[in-house]
Amino acid sequence: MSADSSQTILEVDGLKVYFPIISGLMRKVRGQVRAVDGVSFDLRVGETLALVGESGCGKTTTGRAILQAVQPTGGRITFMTREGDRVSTISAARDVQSIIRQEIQLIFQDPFASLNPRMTIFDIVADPLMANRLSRGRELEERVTEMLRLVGLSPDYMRRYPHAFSGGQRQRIGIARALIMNPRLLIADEPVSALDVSVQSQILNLMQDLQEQLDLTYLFISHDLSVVQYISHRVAVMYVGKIVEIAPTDDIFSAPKHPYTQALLSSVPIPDPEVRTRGGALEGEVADPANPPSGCYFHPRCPMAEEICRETEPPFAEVSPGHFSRCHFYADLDLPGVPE
Amino acid sequence: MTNDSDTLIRVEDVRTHFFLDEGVVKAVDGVSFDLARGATLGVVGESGCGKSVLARTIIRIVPRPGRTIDGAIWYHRPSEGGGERPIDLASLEADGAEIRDIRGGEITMIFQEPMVSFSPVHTIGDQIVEAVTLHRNATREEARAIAVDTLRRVGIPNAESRIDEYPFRLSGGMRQRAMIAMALSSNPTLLMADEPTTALDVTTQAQILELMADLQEEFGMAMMLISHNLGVVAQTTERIIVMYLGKVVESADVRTLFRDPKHPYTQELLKSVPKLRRRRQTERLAAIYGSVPSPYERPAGCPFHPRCPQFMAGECDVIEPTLKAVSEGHSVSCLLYSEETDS
Amino acid sequence: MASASVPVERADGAQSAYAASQWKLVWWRFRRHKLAMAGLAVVIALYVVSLFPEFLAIADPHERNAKKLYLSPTPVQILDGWLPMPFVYGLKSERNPETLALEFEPDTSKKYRIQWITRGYEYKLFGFFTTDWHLMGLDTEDDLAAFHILGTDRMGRDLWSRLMLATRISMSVGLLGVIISLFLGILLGGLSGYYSGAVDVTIQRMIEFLRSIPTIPLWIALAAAVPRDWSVVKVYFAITVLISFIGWTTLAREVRGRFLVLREDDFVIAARIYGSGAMRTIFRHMVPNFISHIIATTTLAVPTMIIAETSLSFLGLGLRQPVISWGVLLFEAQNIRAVSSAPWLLVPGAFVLLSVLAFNFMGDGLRDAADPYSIHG
Repeated sequence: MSADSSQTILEVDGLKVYFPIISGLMRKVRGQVRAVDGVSFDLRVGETLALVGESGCGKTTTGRAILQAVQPTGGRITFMTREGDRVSTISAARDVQSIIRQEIQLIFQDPFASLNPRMTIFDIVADPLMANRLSRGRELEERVTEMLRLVGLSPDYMRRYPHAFSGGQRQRIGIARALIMNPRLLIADEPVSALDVSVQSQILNLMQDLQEQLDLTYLFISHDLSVVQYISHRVAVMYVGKIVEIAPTDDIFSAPKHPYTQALLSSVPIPDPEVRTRGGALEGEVADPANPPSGCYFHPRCPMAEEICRETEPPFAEVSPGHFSRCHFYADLDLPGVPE
Repeated sequence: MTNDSDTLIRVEDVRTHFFLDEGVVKAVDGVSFDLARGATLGVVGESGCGKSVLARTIIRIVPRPGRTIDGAIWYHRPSEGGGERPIDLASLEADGAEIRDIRGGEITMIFQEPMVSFSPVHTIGDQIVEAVTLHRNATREEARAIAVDTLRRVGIPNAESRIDEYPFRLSGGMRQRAMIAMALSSNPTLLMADEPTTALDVTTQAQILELMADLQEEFGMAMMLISHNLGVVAQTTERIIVMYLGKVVESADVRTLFRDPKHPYTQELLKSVPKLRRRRQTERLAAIYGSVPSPYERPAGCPFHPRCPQFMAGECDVIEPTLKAVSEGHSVSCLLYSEETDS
Repeated sequence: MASASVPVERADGAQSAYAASQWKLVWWRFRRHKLAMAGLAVVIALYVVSLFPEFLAIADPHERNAKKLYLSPTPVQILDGWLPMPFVYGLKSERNPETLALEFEPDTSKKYRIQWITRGYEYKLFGFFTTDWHLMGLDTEDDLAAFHILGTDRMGRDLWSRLMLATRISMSVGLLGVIISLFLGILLGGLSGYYSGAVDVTIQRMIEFLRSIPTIPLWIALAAAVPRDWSVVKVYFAITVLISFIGWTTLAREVRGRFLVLREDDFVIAARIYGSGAMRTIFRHMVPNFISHIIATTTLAVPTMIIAETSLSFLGLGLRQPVISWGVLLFEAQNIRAVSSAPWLLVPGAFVLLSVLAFNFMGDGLRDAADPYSIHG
């Protein structure tokens, strides 16, 4: 709950990840998919920033770039280590990389694909330590036991294989594996969207408890705004490789300053038959990141688009402290947010 | 069996079990409900509750080793000279002429992933035209006209040219629209939609749900919407049945169910759904204890009792509750509500 | 009823399934596949034969007997009166006055009892231990006491004994060939899948080139290149290598495909993110996840090898006398007259058929059982 503490843990500055489109026998590069196109944000120690958007908006790629699982095309990612050193995660030296690997970990979406089916729970959870030769023998076993307890699993089950566990339990195992390296930043890529509703809340609550206990920082990647609302301090909305709005959670839900954020909010079907959400659906489809529209990428679907939107790309303007929007009309917008 | 002129489908105590080496999975285990002509029904439940198998049971496309071993599905089939004739779909030959005539014609279904339902080597037009000629008395030219018309009605721009596209050329949302067009082209009496928007983005989901609601009104067919998403069913259906481990635990009209849920499972489920509000929510989300048990290890008595906060030892784990009416049109399968509370 | 009231705890029986390793699960699934189990039994039986062919042989497979050419299978009498003591009758030879051919008839006046675990011709077990023990035989030196279960060939050699030795050669050619293919396949397929780009393209084009060559002419050409004066052992190895030369391409493709899929799997990405090195990731996370598929594919490749050897030898291009293989035996059965007058010479063909079917059933069963987690979709 230390969202206002000023200590920064991660700075992402102008991050770009382009994927070449290769075709033909000669493997010619025909174009580029701008998966992430100039994304900047920073994360403060102990906070949860949600990265929200529809499929293909670049939120997952952003996470993978921070983890060095994809090579950025441009931009800077700076991480503050436990010792207080500022290190760049891109093309870092080997010893720096190993620090980053320990301090930044990932939680996956699919609890079935993310655990090696051929390994026991013990081996899965212990593997990060074994791979880095950080622990062995009794000590390792104790550490795994501790981790399993921490995520609410009985250590009695650690000789079993993943197929013996339900989706929720597997997700706990995945969290234990991520935590065993004692990380400070966790990137959670849709951690609950593959789970049943009744289990989803267990995992969200667990993540909140762990954050308080271990002073973790989360980058919570999700498409589900109603989930985001429970866990995040700030929300960044992405559309076609760019952040279109970033603000504290309250502002995003009650006073959004970008028409796309509003569209996302009005599209969520509300589990209450008395509140009708029909009628707010957006026209058209998400733009193609290989061939984005001119000006503001959102203009072909935007109900408020004007001439300027087709021609010039809007700046990322500060609406109020900590609230930025990429819309020409941010100052005049009076969007309702979540219906009362 | 009554002969309400209003009833389209009456499902009576249907059981579909899967006979696997690991054991018998009772995917649908004694489900009964009525669906009126032109009405909308939501079937809600978590993974493994049997909601998809229920729909497949109705049109007899349960994959092996599943079999419908018991129960009746009375379908009030409109007959040629007006009027109707009730037939039991469960008793028909699974690939006999009559069910094939009904399936894909009078009762159609759309699935979560439309790519699987379309053949990748034929254009969407060809596939819709084929469906139309099979189930309606139409020549190929007429069928093509119908196809273009339906594609237009589901909101596909340039339907005349899009009709000759292959399914993979369309985006997820467009493919789902084409799937709906195919399901509607035969003028069905019942459209079953199995998680039709789960694979789609929120903004596309909103478009599709809106479209389905409009078309349901326009075509006047009945609709059965299967979803794990309570928001989706709340916004699109009139009646809801809640399923848990192959059984209906509660059945009510949508407002009653959301305002006054009776079954502890429904209550807990509604509590655990994250709700969109205007402020960041700092209170913890309610969670249901444990997880859905493995289908091979179905608890005795009430299937929900190991997770139930109102569990009564010696009763819930022994006696299997049955669906009882607690008020007009509202039934619950829970021992907390005995027959005396019948109003 | 009340006994089932603790459903949260799993029953003890079920518990074992949750702690079962992948191999146990594979075996459980495989066991249910009845044809595959039958295939496995036949394959085991054939390899037992290949281990102890001389013990199972009755007569020296290389010993010729000019008096017993094309002798038909000896009818074995199972019951002696009411006692289950199998015996054979002696032989009477008579010259047919019309054809002048020597014809044999059972001489019911002479009975020879079949002895179990008896002494016979001397041989070296596994090439080391000199012994003369055999499973069965007659305890007589009488030349007219014939015990040829499958008859004799044109030189009067016992076909059963020859078939036993042929089984060793043919089955081991299949196995050895597959091992070589497997090595090449995993090495080149793995390289191709792990380092995509130029290496991948080169290996893929090479595979395509090799596969586009019609196999039989290629083998014939290569086999013709094997020098005539090479020793039997050298020819045997040369032929095995030749056969695996093509076989590896299928395996390499399989391995590459698996690598490409696994490389993008979440648990492999996870391992990379927490700092598992390339080799460690491959051997700890990737290989165990496709090894069962590889075994299944390998099993399905064995019959191809067996058939290849048989075809080559049948054409006279593969193994030659004095090596005995199924193909060599069938080479003897090429003559249409021999086949019509001595149809028992075709029995080795039945062995080829049996082994190929057995391997295929077993491979199918393995392939289905290879992924015990597929129930989860």
